[in-house]
Formats: sequence, structure tokens, C-alpha cells
Amino acid sequence: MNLSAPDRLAARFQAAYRILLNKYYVDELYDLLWVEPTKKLGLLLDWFDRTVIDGLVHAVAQIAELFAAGSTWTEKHVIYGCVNVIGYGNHLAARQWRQLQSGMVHHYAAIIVAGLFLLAAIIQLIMQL
Amino acid sequence: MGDYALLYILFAPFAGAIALIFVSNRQAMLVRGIAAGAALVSLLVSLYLFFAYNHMKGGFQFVQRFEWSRQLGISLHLGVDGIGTPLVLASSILLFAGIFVSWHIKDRTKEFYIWLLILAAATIGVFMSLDLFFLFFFYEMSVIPMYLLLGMWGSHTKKYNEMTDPDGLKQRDSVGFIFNFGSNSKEYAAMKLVLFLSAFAIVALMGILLIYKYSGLNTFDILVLREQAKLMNIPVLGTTLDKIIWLLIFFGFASIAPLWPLHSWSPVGHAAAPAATSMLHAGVLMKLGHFSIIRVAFEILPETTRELMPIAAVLCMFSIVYGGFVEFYAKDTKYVIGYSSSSHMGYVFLGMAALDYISLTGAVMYMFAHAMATGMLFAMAGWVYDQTHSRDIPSLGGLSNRMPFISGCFVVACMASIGVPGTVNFIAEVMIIVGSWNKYPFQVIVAVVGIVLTLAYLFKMMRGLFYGPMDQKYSHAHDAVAVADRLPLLIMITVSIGFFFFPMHLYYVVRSGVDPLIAKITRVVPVASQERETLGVKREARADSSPQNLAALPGDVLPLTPYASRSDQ
Amino acid sequence: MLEELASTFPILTCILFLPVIGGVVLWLFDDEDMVRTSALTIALLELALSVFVLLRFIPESAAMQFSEHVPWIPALGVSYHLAVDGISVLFVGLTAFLAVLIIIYSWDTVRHQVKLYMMALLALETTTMGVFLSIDLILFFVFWELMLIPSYFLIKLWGGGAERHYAALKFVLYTLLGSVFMLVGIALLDINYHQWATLRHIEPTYSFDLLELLSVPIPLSKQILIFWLLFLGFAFKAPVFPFHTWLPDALLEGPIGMAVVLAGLKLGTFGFIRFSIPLLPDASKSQTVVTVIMTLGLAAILYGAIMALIQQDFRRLLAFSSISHLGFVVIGLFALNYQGLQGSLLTMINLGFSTAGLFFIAGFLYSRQQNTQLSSFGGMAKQTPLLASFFLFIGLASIGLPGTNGFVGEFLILLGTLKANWLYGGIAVTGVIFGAAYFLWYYERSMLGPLGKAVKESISDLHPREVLIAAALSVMILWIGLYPAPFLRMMNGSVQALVDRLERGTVASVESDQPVRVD
Repeated sequence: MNLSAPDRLAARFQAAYRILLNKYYVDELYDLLWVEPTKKLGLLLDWFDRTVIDGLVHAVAQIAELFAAGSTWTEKHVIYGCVNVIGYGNHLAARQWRQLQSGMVHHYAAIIVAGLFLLAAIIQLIMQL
Repeated sequence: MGDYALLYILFAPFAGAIALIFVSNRQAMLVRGIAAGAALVSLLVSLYLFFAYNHMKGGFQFVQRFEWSRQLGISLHLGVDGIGTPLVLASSILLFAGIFVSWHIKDRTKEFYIWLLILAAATIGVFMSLDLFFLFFFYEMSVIPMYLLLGMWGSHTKKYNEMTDPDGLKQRDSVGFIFNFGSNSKEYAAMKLVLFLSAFAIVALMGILLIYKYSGLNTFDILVLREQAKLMNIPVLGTTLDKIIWLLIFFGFASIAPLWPLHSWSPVGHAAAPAATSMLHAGVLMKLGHFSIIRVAFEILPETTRELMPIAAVLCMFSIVYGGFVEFYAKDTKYVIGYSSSSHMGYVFLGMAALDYISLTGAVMYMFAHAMATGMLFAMAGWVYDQTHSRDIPSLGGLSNRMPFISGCFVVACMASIGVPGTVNFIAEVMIIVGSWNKYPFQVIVAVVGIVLTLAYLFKMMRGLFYGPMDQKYSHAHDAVAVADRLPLLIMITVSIGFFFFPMHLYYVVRSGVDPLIAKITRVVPVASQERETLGVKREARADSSPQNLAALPGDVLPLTPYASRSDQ
Repeated sequence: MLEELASTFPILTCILFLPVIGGVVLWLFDDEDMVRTSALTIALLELALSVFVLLRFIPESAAMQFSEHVPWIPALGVSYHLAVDGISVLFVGLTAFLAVLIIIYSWDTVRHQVKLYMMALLALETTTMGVFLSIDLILFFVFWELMLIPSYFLIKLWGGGAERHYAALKFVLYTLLGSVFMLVGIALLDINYHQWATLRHIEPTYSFDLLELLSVPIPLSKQILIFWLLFLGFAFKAPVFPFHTWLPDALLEGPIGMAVVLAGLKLGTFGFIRFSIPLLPDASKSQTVVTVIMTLGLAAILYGAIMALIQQDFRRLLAFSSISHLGFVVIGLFALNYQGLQGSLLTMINLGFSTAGLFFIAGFLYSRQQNTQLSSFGGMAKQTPLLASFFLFIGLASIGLPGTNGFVGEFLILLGTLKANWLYGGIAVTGVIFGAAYFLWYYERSMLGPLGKAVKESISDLHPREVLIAAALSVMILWIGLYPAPFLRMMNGSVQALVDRLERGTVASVESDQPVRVD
């Protein structure tokens, strides 16, 4: 064995040597305690920023879309529906009533007679009042 | 010509229409020339009217009166005040622009122009009528040409007979008819528009006739009625007559405005109508509603107006927000613009509802500004439709390369419609906000959020039309190059931007019309304390209310040190 | 004679409208090089005018100078009122300076639709100038909103990212949402003035003029409402945490020129110091407001810095570093003392050199590797020593190394904040450490060490035009860092007046809705 003094010392105090060699592990400790958590926190915040904060912004947009869908539904079913139902009712009624127009003279004559009776009844009713 | 200005404006289009009857359709240029000439006369005289209107004097000017029926108390009584003047100008600008926008109509050109001229003339007639009978006469007259213009020259996504439900049943025979929304035939649109508006016109007519009957003055003259009609405190049906009349008139005319929920005729109608008709329709016809409410309800029933106008304040919110939301889902260019128009009319109602000098002035200016903005948008939607035969936003795109001029103008039109500074819409918007806050802060917040909605859907539409990838089948589409094609857009842009930089004349003119009206509405006191008020004590108009005082401005006496308070000096 | 002419010459109007009129003139040219040359000429002319204003500006004065006042809508009290004081004058110079650099940068990096690009850029310059020069609130708002239009198209049409349409719309909607609330706030100021003026029979009864509005008392409750309304407008634009999500998108997707404007010109915080604090001193002082805003500011500092630490994309990193720096500006402002305000003002200017400078660096990186991802760099210092040195220098300025401009500003802010509240100051100091960390770490990974895989041997160093940009910025950084006195002197008067105003409050503040008569 022909070791120099430092080597001998290193061999003798192996643990101390390693600690000294790694500068008391200050860098590693620093990394472990400080740098890595910060990076982790950074990743966490990045997730937070993309999902929560930007998510809120998108949620506002989604809510607007939802309102838009709701309004359009109302527009179609309530506003348009209310107006169109009048036209449709008119159409249905007309489909029934047009059968009165049969083109046969005796039908028309019957209607005229019925109408006359109705008119007379109404006049009488008014006279009584 | 001074005194007869109104007659020129009103009858030039009528004269043009009559002259056109005697021209053959084969001479297309002559037909267009006559129409443009008539519109030009109207436009030039309107400009004269606008700048000759004496806002210092205020009141009704250029008054013309022709007895029509002494027995019934009807006369053709024309005159404009500060509210009517800018709207007359807007109508004639849009008519003139509309003639050029429809320059390329090939089918029955003559008849088209005849009806367009009549439509515009009737609209103008409402803005200058001082007689309830003729006001209603012109109002109805403006609805009828719409039927023909829509039914004959309109465009549609489906033919009437092809409107079927998923089962293949003819839609008119199926319940699905009730829910047809978004894809309509022009016949359906025309019928719906005319029936809807006529039905509500009858409502308004009942109000007018009630005024006529219960005032007992045997006259339809608004100037007489507003001074002498005593309609207050007549009990009817558990309420008072004035309220019933007011409601009839308000909702009758609000249908054309259109106030939510009476708007369903409007997008359908806009979508089906040819471009020039949509322009006139959204630009000025819708303002007939506001104008008639102001002219009839505000003038004749000021106290009831103060009492019942909160109705408008509530409904206007729905107009603004609801219209804005429906547009997100609309895929048809003209539907989008149509809903944006009915949404923007909510701002006018807000300005009216606040019953404040500034806000009502803002509302009237907004009507004028909106006429230009929506006119531009419809003109451009029409141009895109003419070039691509499509109004379907998803199938369009990338047109900015084909039509740089149109896409440039579209940006300006969007700005105007949103109310971004640079156009007179912004000034009107600020005035509505400033004027309405004290009374309706919540509505103001809703209104400003509505601005953001407007931007969202208009930019969405702009992107859908002009940017992104272009379908190859539109590669033949071309830009507006000819003078006749560019002129209408340039006119409207110039007016819109011009009044942004120089709004004062417009402001003074409108203000001179608004001042007496608001003074009258806000001065009247509640019925309980009326006796004290009416003992000849005329409350003085506020110092700021007369435009004369407003014109005076102190010189530049501003403090030089910015943060020193006035008391320090 | 000449002196008289110089004093009546409407120089601010010229500064304001020169770019946009120049932009219209560009329309006439068809040749692209001609367009570039003319745009540069216009920008240089603008810079000359701005330098002239800076030279003629009387320092140590709180007065509004070069004032131009023309009634616009007298009935509403809206006027065309331009002026500069110690708060705004430096921004005018900064805007003109950056515009020149952006045009130089865009010389060969923007290749399609050059004419439109230059026109949009010049229009943007006009609107930005308008924001800094306007004394009338409506005029200010006009430019504030008009800025959106060129910005939208710059991001949308010349952006590099795939998501640029989304980013452009997000930016515009975000900003507009804030500004419409600001518009309501402005309207409320006007209404308050109106009530006060009507009571005292002062004509005109409406006014949007900053100087007029400063002279009326505003009840505290109203001040607080108006403050928050204005806050929304400015905070969305600044952007103050947590309203910042448009910024990374816009900076990443938009072109470098736009990013320089967005990150370099702190319009939002300028709005605070120009309007919010002087107009609403009592609200600004109130406990809730200070606590909320200080919290947001500190959160922004730490949040932005930690976020920047882990970003892989340099432009995203810059976006978050910009948010972090804005946190400093905000806490400096709401320290509400002389040092804090002065430091914030100086920092806003500094960021115009350092953050904007880093964006130019990002641009240089981008034009070499077509992106700014970390993975495309590594060991660049060997290949591009000039780029690496300027990168380091400007970066150190943004950290706030003594000797650079960043140090002066940040030091003043920390001093002011510590004076106001030691806790806030203490937290803010940690932000400085993070600031150093994220920059140096990124620098180490991108510029030092072995050559990155994606880096080609043939990668070129800065060419003369780029050197010119970097050198111009470096000169300014050194100048402010070593000899900040001329800059501080310019703002001193106005800052002092602002501090006095804060102490005094509005003329009389009462807890009621009716303005009192002050006689």
C-alpha cells in the first residue's frame, strides 16, 4: 500500500469524505427542499391556470352558449309556436269548413234556410232585451 | 322652396313611382334613372331640411296643412320637429342607397322600384305626419309594399310547397308547421309579416280611435290633441281610460319596433326580403314604432307615459339579451343581422324608458345611427348573397380575398353596429348610458353586456363570411367595383363616421325636439298634488335644458395644475 | 416669433394623427419595399416629434403641458383635449421608440400583406398614443376601444400560431368586457359632475374632462363603485391576476410586433395612475380596495413567477413574467406613497424596454427556429454569441440587476411597499428571487451547455438590423440604469401632486349620495 496522505485519510473516514466531496450535500438538500417543490408547485399552478382559471373563462362562454341554446329553443317553440299556432288553427278550421263548399245547389239552399232561421232567432233575442 | 320642403321629400318618390308606370321594363337604365332621380330629389331636400331646421326655435317647422275632411276633422298636416328631421334624413339616405343596392335586379325592375319608392315615401310620411289619421294611413301604407317586395323579389331557403316535416308530410298540413324556424319560404315570411303587423296596427288604431272619440274635439290633429285632449281619470273596466289607450298604442306600435316578444315577424321578414327592402325595413321601418310611440303616446298622454314607461324598461332587457343570444345559433347571415337589429332596438327603448333629456336624445340619435349601421350590414349581406347565392354562414368563408372592398366595409359596419367609437352609434350609446343610469342602473349593465354579445356574434359572422378557407365554388364571386355598387356603402359609412366627428348639429336638432317633450312628461306631478301645481305656476325649464345655453361654452380656463382642486384657486 | 409659433403649434395632434394619416398614404404605394421605407420614415418622424416634446417638456412640474383643447360635443362635455404631464410624457416617447423598432423588426419577418400590416401597425400606434395623450375620458375611451380593431387583425391575420383566431377573439372579447364596465364608470363620473354642477349652476353641466372632474367632490360610496367599474376595465387590459388568461394566448399566437405592444406598453396600469387614483383618491385609500388589490398584486407576482419557471415556451414564459412584473407595478401604485408611485411609473417605462426587448429576442429566436420552444434550443451561445449576449443583458435588466433600469424601478417599488406595509413588501421581495430564477434557468438551458439537437450548425447570428434593435434597447436600459435622474425629474412634479391629492382626497367626501355644496 503506497497511498498518499489524503487518500489514506479518505479511506479512513469514508463517510466524512463523501460528505465533504459533495459539499455537505447542500446542493442536493437545496434541490430537495426548495427547487423541486417549487417546480412541482409550478406544474400544479400551470394545471390550475389551464383548467381552473381558463376553465372559468370557458365556463362563461359555455354558459353564454347555454343561454343561446335556451333562447333559440324559446324562440322556436314559444315565440314562433304561439304565432304559428294561430295560422295552423286557421288552416285546420278552414280544412273542415271548406267542405261546406260542396258545389251542390240543395246544400247551399239548406244553408241559406238555416241561416235565415238563425238570423230570425237572433233578431228576436235582441228585441226581447 | 323652403316652405314646401316636406312636400318635395314626401311626393318626389310618389311622383317617381307614378312616372315609372309609364316606362317600359325594357329600358332598364331609364327605370333606374327615374328611381334614382326621385330618390335624389328626396335626399337633397332632406339634407336641406336637416340643415335648415332651426334648432334654436325648435317646435314643428316647415308645416303644411291641407284640409281633407272638415266633418271628421282630418287634414293632411305635415311638419317635422327635432325628432322627425333626422329620421326623414335617414329614410331618404337609405332610399337613395337602396336604389343603388338593387341596381342589378333583373326581374320586373320597374315594379320593384315602384314599390320601393312607395315604401320609402310612406315611411317618410309617418315621420312628418301631424295628424293621427294620416300617421296611421302612412303607417299601414308602408306595410303593404312589404308584402309584394318580399313575395315577389324575396329569397328563401325553401319553397312553400317543399316545406315538409321529417315524415314527408306537407308542412302546412302538419303540426311541424308550428315550429318551423330558420328555414322559411318568402311567401310564408311575407304573409307572416303583413298579418302580424296589420293585426297590431289594428290595436294601435283602436287606441287612436279611442283618443279621437273621448277627446271629443272632433279632430285627429296631434297639435290640438296634445294641448286640449282631456283623457285622464276616466274610469273604464276597473282602470282608467288613458292607461288602456296608452297600452293599445304602445303595444300596437311596439310590434314594428320590435319589442320582445313581438319580434318574431322581423328576422323572418328580413331574411326573405331583397337587400334594399331589408335596409329600409331594419333601417327606418322599425323606427316607425318608436317614433309613433313618441309622437302619439308621449305627446298626447305624457302623464300616463311617465307612469307606464317602466314596462318598456323591463321588456327592453329581454330584447337586448335575448336577441343577442339567439344570434349565436343563427346560421343565416340575414337572420343574424335581423336579430341584431331587434336586439339593438332594445337600446332605443331603454333610452326612451328613462325619460331623461340625454337618454331620449341618445335614443333618437341611436335610431339614426342604427339606420346607417344596419343598412350597411344588410347591403353587404345582400351583396354576398348575390355573389354566392348563399346565406348559410358555415358554407361560406374566405371571401375577403375575393372581395376586399366589401370585407373592409364590413369591419366598419360591424364597428358601427357594436358601437365601437368611430361611428355615431358610440355617441348615442354613451348618451343612453349616461341618461339612463340614474333610473335604470341594472338595465344599463345589461345593455353594456349586450355590447359584448354583439361583438361576439358579429365577429363570428365576419369570420364565417370573410376569413378561413374558401369553397372553390365561390371563386367566381367578385368585389363591388363599379361606382354604383360602391356608392351606397360609401354614403352610409361617410354619414356614420361624419356624425361621429361632428355630432353637434344632429344633437341640437334632436335635443330641440326632445326638450319640450321631456319637460312636459317630467313636469307633470302626480294626480294627488296636481291642484297646487296647476295654479298657473309654470315650473321653469332646467338651466341645462335649452340648447341655446348649451351652445355657450366657457373659454379655456382649465386649471393648469392637474390635481389642484378648484377651491385652491 | 419662433418661440411663439412653437408654443401654439399643435404638436400633440401631429403626434396623434401622423401615424394614421401616414398609414392612409401607404395605401398609395404598391411596391413592398416602398411601403416599408415609408412606414419607417413615418415612425421615425413620429419619434422625432416625440423627442421634441420630451426635450421641451418642463420637468419637475405637475402642470399639463402642450395642452390642446377643442370642444367636440360641448353639450355632453366631451372635448378633444390632449396634454402631457409627468405621468404620460415618457410613454409617448416609449411608444414612438417601440414603433420604430417594430417596423425595423418586421422588415423581413412579415412577408404577406405587408401594406395592410404596416397600416394596422400605424393605426395601432395612433390609438396607443391617443390613450396616453387624452385628458378627456371619452376621448380616452375612444382610443382605448379603437385599439381593439387593429389588434384583432394583427393577431388574426399575421399571427404564427394555429389558434390565432381563438386568441384574437378572446383578446377582443376580454378587453371589451372590461371596457364596457369602464364606460359605465366614466358615465358615472360624468353624472356625478352633472349633479354637482347643476347644484352650483356651473356651465357646462356635463364634463368628461379629467381636470374638470378632479375639481368636484365625489361621495365615498360612489367613489368605490366607480373605482371597481374602472378597475374592471384596467385590470382586464393590464392584465391583473386572475384576469390574465388572454395574455399568454395572444402573445403566443400573435405576431411579435403585436406582442411587443401588448407586453411593452402597460396601458392598464397607466389607466390606474392616470385616472383611477387621482379621480378617486378616497376609494383608492380605502382599506378594502387596498387589501384586495395588494393581494391580487402579490398573488400575481408569485403566481406569474412560479408559472414562468416551468414554461417550456419562451413566449409563454414571457407572458407570465409580464404578469409577475405587473404585480410589482400594481403593488407599487397601491402603496400610495411617493416612492411606490414613482417606482411603478418608472417600472412601466422600464418594462417597455426590457420585456419588449425580450420579446424582440423571442422574435429573433423565432425567425431562426420557427418556434420558441425550449426543445429547439440549447447551447446556442457558441453559435450565436451576439444573440446570447444581448439575451443575457436584456434578461438581466428584466430581473432588475443593479446597473440596469430594472433595478431602479423595482427598488423604488419595494421601498415604497415596505414603507406602506412591511408584510406586503416582504412577500414582494421573494418575487424578485423567483424572477431571477426563471430567467436564468431558461437562459442556461437554451443558450449554455452542449448544442441542442434541433440546433443546426448553420444557424446564423444576429444580422445588422437585429443588432440595431438590440443595441438601441440596451442603450436605453443602461442609460436609465446608470443615470435615471432625467427620467425621474420628468415625473417628479406629477407624482408629488398625485401624493398630495391622495392626502387631501377629493374636495369633500361625504358618506351620502347627494354631493354637498362646497363654498
